Amino acid sequence: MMSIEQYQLMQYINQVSFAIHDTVLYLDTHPKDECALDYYHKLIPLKKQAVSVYVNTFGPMNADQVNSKTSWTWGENPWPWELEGC
Amino acid sequence: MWSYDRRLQYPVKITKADPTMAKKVISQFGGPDGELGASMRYLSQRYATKNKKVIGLLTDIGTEELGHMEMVSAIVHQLTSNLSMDDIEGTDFAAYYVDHTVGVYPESAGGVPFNALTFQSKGDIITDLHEDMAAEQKARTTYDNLLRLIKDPEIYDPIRFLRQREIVHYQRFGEAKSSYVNKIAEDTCYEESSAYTLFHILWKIFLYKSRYY
Repeated sequence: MMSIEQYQLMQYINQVSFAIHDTVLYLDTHPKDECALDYYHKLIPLKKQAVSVYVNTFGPMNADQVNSKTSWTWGENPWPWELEGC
Repeated sequence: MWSYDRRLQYPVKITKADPTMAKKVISQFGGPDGELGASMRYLSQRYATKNKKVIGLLTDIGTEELGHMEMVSAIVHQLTSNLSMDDIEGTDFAAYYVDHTVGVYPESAGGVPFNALTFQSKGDIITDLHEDMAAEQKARTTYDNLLRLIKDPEIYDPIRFLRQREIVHYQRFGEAKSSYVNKIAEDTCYEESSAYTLFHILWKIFLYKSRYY
């Protein structure tokens, strides 16, 4: 079972990622909207920082983020569709 | 290329199993207006245009649909977790159980396996964008139907999120189609659609003949 801290950080990553994704779709059809582009650039570092904290504390979110040099941790934590997962 | 993020686009946490509801929700995985067909539709249609903006949109929405497929699968998986035979016997889920146990298989609520004939990739981007807008509306209607049948807030919440995304995608496809149709006046657009090819050739001949060197 994941901790409150892990759940909250995952929630934050989900929220920032969703904001980025929805802005990406908007920019796809409004590529000259400077306000949306500013918002996009404001969000990117927020996601990067949160993901880096998550990966260092709770394990990889992507298969190229495995930090351990002694064991393969990609398959260790619950998967997102499992009730105990994110 | 695609890369996998170990998270759902929106959380799915269903603590109470309900195999009868799983049998209904599965339609948005492999049914006629489900997320599998949606993703395959947009990712297949991308090659029919040179319009880089539209290719970008089809790529990004097609990718998001893969994430929705995962969310719908997660809902079905959690609704069919830890079932006893008593939970299954006598329900609509029993027939599914015979064929797939509690594996997640792409089929409609009526039990028809996923069929690529539920979508087109017509090679004409204007035709395709019209289909895409209709597809988003059909999926939205299906989510509305599901929301009328769902009582459990834990199921209702992620389904409501998915329904909302259909509306955003519809809007974006509409904008893409408008920008495209407005471009018909421009020379480059005639090349996009085979329907315009003959006209395009005649127009080029006319332009060539009317030159005074």
